[in-house]
Amino acid sequence: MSELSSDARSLLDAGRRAHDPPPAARARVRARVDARLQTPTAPRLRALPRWLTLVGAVALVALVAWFARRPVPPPPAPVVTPAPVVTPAPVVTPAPVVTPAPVVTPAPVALPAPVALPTPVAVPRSRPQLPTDTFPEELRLVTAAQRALAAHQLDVADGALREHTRRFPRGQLAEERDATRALVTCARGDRDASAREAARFLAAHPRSPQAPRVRRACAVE
Amino acid sequence: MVALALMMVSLPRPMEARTATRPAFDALYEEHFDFVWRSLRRLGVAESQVDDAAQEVFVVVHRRLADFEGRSTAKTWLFGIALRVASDFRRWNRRKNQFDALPDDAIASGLSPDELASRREAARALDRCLDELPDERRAVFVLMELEELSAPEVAEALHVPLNTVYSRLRLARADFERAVAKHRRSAP
Repeated sequence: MSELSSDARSLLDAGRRAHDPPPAARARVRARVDARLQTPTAPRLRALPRWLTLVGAVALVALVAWFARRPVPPPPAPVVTPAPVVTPAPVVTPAPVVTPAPVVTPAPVALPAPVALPTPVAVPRSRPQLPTDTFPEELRLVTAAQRALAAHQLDVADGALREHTRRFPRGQLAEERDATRALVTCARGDRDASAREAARFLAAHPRSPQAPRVRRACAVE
Repeated sequence: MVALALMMVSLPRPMEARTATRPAFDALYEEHFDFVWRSLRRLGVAESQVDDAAQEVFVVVHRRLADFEGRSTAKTWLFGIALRVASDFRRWNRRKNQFDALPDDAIASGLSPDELASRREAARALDRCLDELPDERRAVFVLMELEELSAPEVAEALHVPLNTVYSRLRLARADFERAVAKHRRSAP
């Protein structure tokens, strides 16, 4: 993972505070949120769907009625149906040429349905999920460590990291765990241990996106 | 069929499901307002519209607070909402071709005119470069490089696999470098 150049980094650093809200914004937005929450939702938004759903319902009923009443189209060319093959029953009556066969069989004729089979084949494609079942648990431990680090509860962070190492030594979040461990060590302020831990992390994961953060926190050049 | 139609009419609307507890909402608002504001700006919402966008985010938060299961952190959950709101605002902005007026309170921010000018310039320069990033990469870049969230947290916020986060970050960094170089060249 390539690191950002010093130009890019300084642009980021300069802009980091530039998007902070102005002091009055917090109260102003809060007042507007409260006002919105007290009006029981814009009436237009409320009424429109109800009105629309009613119209939709009526339209649906009308559509169904129309379908039920519409003249049945002439049976699709009985010639196409080698009906006797599909349904042996009509073979008994010699008359089917005129009428009865279509009543029973046209549906199967219209069923080149097997063509539709490819659809189910496409269905099983699902959205990519987070890699495996262990991920949520790994995530819980690493996030707990990171939160504890942010709250400067370094022993708690260490505990979570140790548990992660014990349960998932080669887990998907091993890199994040090692980075967090380096950050925890550096937060303890022991310079030798910090340098050692940072060097170990940077040697193992030189291209990690966490590398700049570790370098900064551990004052490693 | 009629029954189905009636059912459609009587379906409960999400708007009516207001079970969010006030104290939880207050705490979220107080703790994360700055984060939401910054995120909206960094996701490309114009300065003149952040009030509206932030308001929208917190109205959604209030409605959905009861659904927040605590499986993700509040920050990642909020960012997911901010991301969608920002996307709507950007689209609307493009259609309306809004110009970005300076809000009055930027002047009343307690900064000296020089500080204010340099902060605004820094924000503009950063905005210009961030604007060059495709939306998906931009979100990862903002969260990791500016908010310093970890990759797993970003994966959680954006509902994408961890590997995707890393690959988007790599691409976003390259995009950002190109944008910085381009704007340096065009700077007077």
